[in-house]
Amino acid sequence: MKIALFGNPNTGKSSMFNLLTGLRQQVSNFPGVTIEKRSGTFKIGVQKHQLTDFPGTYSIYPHSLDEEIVSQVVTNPTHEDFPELAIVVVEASNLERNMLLFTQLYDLKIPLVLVLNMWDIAEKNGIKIDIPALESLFPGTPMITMNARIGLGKERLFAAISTSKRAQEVIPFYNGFFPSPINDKDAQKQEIQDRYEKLRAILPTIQGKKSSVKSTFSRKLDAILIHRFWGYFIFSAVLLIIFQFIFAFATFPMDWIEHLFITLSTWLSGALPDGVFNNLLTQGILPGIGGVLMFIPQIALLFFFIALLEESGYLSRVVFIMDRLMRPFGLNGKSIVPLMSSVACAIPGIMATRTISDWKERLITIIIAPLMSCSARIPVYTLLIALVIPKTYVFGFISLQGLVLFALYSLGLVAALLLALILKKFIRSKDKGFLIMEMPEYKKPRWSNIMISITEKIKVFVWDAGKVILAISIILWVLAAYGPSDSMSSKIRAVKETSLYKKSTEPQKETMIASAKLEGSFIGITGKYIEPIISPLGYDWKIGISLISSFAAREVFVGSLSTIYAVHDENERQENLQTHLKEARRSDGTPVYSLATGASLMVFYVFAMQCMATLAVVKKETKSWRWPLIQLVIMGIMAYVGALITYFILT
Amino acid sequence: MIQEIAVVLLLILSLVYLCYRVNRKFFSKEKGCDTCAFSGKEKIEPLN
Repeated sequence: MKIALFGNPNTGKSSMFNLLTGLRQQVSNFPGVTIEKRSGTFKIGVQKHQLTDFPGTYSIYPHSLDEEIVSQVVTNPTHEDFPELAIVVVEASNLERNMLLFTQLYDLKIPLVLVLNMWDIAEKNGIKIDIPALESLFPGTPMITMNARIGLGKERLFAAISTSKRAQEVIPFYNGFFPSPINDKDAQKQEIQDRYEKLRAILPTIQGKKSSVKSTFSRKLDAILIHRFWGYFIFSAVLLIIFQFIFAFATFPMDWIEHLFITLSTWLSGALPDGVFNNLLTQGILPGIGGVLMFIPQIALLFFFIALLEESGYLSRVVFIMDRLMRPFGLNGKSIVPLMSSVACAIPGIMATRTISDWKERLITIIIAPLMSCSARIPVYTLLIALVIPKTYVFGFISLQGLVLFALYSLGLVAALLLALILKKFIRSKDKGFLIMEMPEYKKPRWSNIMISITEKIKVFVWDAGKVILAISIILWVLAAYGPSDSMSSKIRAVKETSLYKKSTEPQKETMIASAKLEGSFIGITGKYIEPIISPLGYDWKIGISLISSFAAREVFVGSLSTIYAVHDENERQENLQTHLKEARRSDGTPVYSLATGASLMVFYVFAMQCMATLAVVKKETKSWRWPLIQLVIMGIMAYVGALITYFILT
Repeated sequence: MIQEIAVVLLLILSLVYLCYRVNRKFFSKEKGCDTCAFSGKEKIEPLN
């Protein structure tokens, strides 16, 4: 049987989907997480059912792309996804608003099962619902209470699905013309008003206490957390604490991972016979992969905190206060959810813009979303911060390194807001969108959900980024180990003739020869070509090569640097990347990674569109090459100018 | 000799993989997001 899941946003449809299908669709205490339909299967006894989870919507009349899909399916019985049975999920403590969609689906004569979800919260709030009375109003529709998050009521739901039979001739809930014509907004408005009036008249007779009354605890907390001043103060403090944690607690596991790769590399180098494959493995692949994988603890910590904030319900409050902050910059309230999602990754963020009804508003949000610092920037930021920012404490307890990380995230947000303001001048929209969002109750986070979220994200990071890093490490190593036949030898000859070489010790001579070979390699020659473009920013050719390779994905920057410096290190000291970078010197003997260069690189990565996957998604979402290219150019100019100014100021 | 062949094979594989990835991301008709955390068992369809 084809079964559909419908309901308002954040009523627990995705939890229900996961509960029934055993899949792990992303769920959160946050509206608008599901922006497209997703299908899975489940069995009751021997009977197999196909379940489709649809985006949350308040009525069958769409206001955005994600809502449109619900409307297209339910109003067209010939549609391939038209359900044989629909499970309508409502929040038991908020019946009045949630029941509108149910009454519309009921009048469309779709066989239904009504699930009164989050029953625990309703009970806690003292709400009593007379289920038989409610069932008598909608004959043929089984109604069950559930708590999908913990799986309570699953058996009742299975029984309801198995026995569900809907009489074809039922008395419609709404007596007027239905469904209202798709272009007649006035008729739709009137219909919705009439339905609400009828619901308001009926519901008090079947529920003991007025619904939608937030618990005192939630109200008290909201008074502080969405306060005009304290709301922002607390949010800034929360972010600051997160970044402090990222630096304070990730160091130990990071060192452990790094040490593991160095040990493995040293062991393999001795265990395998000498040769090019040995070199590729120990100087190319392992440093490249290890250099990025060591940042897993920091990324896991970031996702842990994001999941914790989502699960608890605090992130919805953040959306609310950010809406207030962003309005002066002309941003649609609905832009906030995509921008917040972009902190984890710009790709789901850009896809979440489908909830924005106005095309121009949506386009602006798509263009600015990658400016929000994503998790792929974490390896770059933390590597550079640890390199050029001293490990000191402000006021004795705030880590300066954590503070700089906070500043980089803030810079991305400010840049996104300013760019939105500028884009508004060029991309004018008539439709002023607005955000309607229900504040969910604060909930005790479910650790299993948090762990699922972290493991899924880490899996994606390791597997998806890992494959690209592996491929790029191999290519970079080959380009760094080989060069035009006379180029490498002539460089070596030139070095050997210098007086500095003759005066140097044996290990120093080896390093100088390795440097000369690298400069004469394909990668060295290419790097020298691009050096004039990037030298005003304080970068040498090795940084330049890493910048180019990181166009595939930002974290590749770290992997590329690891590979280049590992090839450079002919002494087989198997040092870590930090040590290599600290020891790197320019021809005049000054360190390559000074504060100015490090800060300039960080600013570059705040602004630069170094992500092929994001560009591809922008191309798919905008259905043209024009917008990803415009985005690439805008962000490229911002990155170059921003890095140039930073380097200029700090030198 | 075996080591050289292994390196050449890995290089070719890497280049082919990167080309495949660029092609799939920019030119295929598949769903846009293949880096999001889906389980892989779900049938995911684009909106339009």
